[in-house]
Amino acid sequence: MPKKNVLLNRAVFSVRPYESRALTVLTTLFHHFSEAGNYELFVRRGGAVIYRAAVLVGEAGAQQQINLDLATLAQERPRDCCDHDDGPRYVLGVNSVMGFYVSQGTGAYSVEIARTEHKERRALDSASLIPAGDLFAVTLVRPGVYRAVEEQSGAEMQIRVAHPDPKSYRKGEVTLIAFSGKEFKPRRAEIVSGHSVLFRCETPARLRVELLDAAETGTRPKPGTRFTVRRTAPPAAPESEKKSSD
Amino acid sequence: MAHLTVAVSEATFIRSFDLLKRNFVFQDSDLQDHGVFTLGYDVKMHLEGGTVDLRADNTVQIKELDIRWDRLKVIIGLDIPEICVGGGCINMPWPIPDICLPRICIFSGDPDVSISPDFASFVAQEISFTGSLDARYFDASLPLPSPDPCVPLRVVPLTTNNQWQIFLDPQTMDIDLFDFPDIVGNLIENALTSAITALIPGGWVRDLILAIIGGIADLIRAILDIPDDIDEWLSDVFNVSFGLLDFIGTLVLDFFASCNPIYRIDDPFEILPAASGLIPVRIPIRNLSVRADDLEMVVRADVGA
Repeated sequence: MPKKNVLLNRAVFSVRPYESRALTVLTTLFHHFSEAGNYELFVRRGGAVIYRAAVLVGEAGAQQQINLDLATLAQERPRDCCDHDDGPRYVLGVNSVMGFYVSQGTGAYSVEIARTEHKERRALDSASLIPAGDLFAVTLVRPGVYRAVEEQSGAEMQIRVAHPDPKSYRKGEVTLIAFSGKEFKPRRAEIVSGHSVLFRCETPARLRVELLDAAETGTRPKPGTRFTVRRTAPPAAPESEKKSSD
Repeated sequence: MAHLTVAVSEATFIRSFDLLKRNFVFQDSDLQDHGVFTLGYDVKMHLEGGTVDLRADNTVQIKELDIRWDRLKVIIGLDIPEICVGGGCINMPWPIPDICLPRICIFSGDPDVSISPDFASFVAQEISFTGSLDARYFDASLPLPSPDPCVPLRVVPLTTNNQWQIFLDPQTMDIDLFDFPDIVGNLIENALTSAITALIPGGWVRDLILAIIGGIADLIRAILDIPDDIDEWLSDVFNVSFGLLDFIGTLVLDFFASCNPIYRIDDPFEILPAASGLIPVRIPIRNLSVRADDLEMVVRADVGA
């Protein structure tokens, strides 16, 4: 078996706030295309556009969902606006969703989607607000208590993330939470590490999920395990003092 | 009545057989790719002990010849499946379609772990066979078969003379099956568990990964598709999948029956060496035959014209 270099995706385990305005590993933003039309997609990292593509919505029989990994997008050459035959393009049906997520790395991304014909008509600008009808998902891995906040209204909810039990663990569980504009429903959610919460925004929102209280970390010492505590040695006297004391 | 009769005692025959047996060495390695896991071996063995009995029915019985493993390495490589968080789909109210979340994987690639423990000291096997004695004429002027199956087995050097050669020709052979003890299963499981654990960070991250993969012991069994004990599975692999028993059996048969004569007699046979400027005196050997009885091996031959 040839040896492969395997790297741990450390970003999965780094603890930080998860924000809809800065998409990072473990967050996903879903934009709902409710109207047919031609759209222009802009992906930004650190304020600079790193990727542009055309999104054509309305074709019958087209896909209902596309997920784009923002960490692996690569623009081979600059795209001329707004030729839909030039560069990457995605074709979706009406009422479809496009998901934006980050699979690796520490980068923070934002996504903008605008009508091709009317650039001023932005369908989405994640750096500012998630429009009504869009969804924001966070996969929480560190056990503990989290707080989800809608920054405009100040509405809050609590998410408790439990330690996973290998005997009963089920992968890919998603808990749906609605944000009405004033409050979250439900206001408390309990999930297991590695599972996700999906916020459905009924009004424009800016969401943030942060760890309040980390649960005790898993592996406890076995009973009977001995720990050895050593006294720290006093600091060595400087050479000059040694000489003078002699 | 034969012109020449030579008798070899059972004790001398045993010493001759012992000399040949001690030169038998087998080594081999192989690696099989089974997709999610690889399985291989790297082995070296020799023969020891055993009893030799000349029997009245013109056969020689070899019993309980020990297969001693100098090296019995088992190579097991596992391709750990993707370990990911997130994912899953959820039904959404109209008009939003059902949404599937992306999975975020914990490792940048599918990690591999590989172990190659040596179980030489845990496996004991024996070979027994009964063979007849067979005299064959070796004509040095004839080319050897190509390819020559005896090349890796020949310990008695090839001669440039014509010879009568006496082989021990086993008809059937019994070899003990590989039977790995329970402790081998435990050692494999522990070694694989350590190798997998080394990939995983500690604390709550380990708890999460173990939950996703369902525990290391279960993961190992799932990947290797082992319903029962690892030691039983390994024994089956060595006995059946690798085909090592057939291979060793064939080698031992060929070693004694085809490649290494137990005795050799030059033809013509030198009875007086060259001396005082005179050429050596050699006599041609014809119609050589060999028989065994309870006490000795007897060779009879004629002196040719």
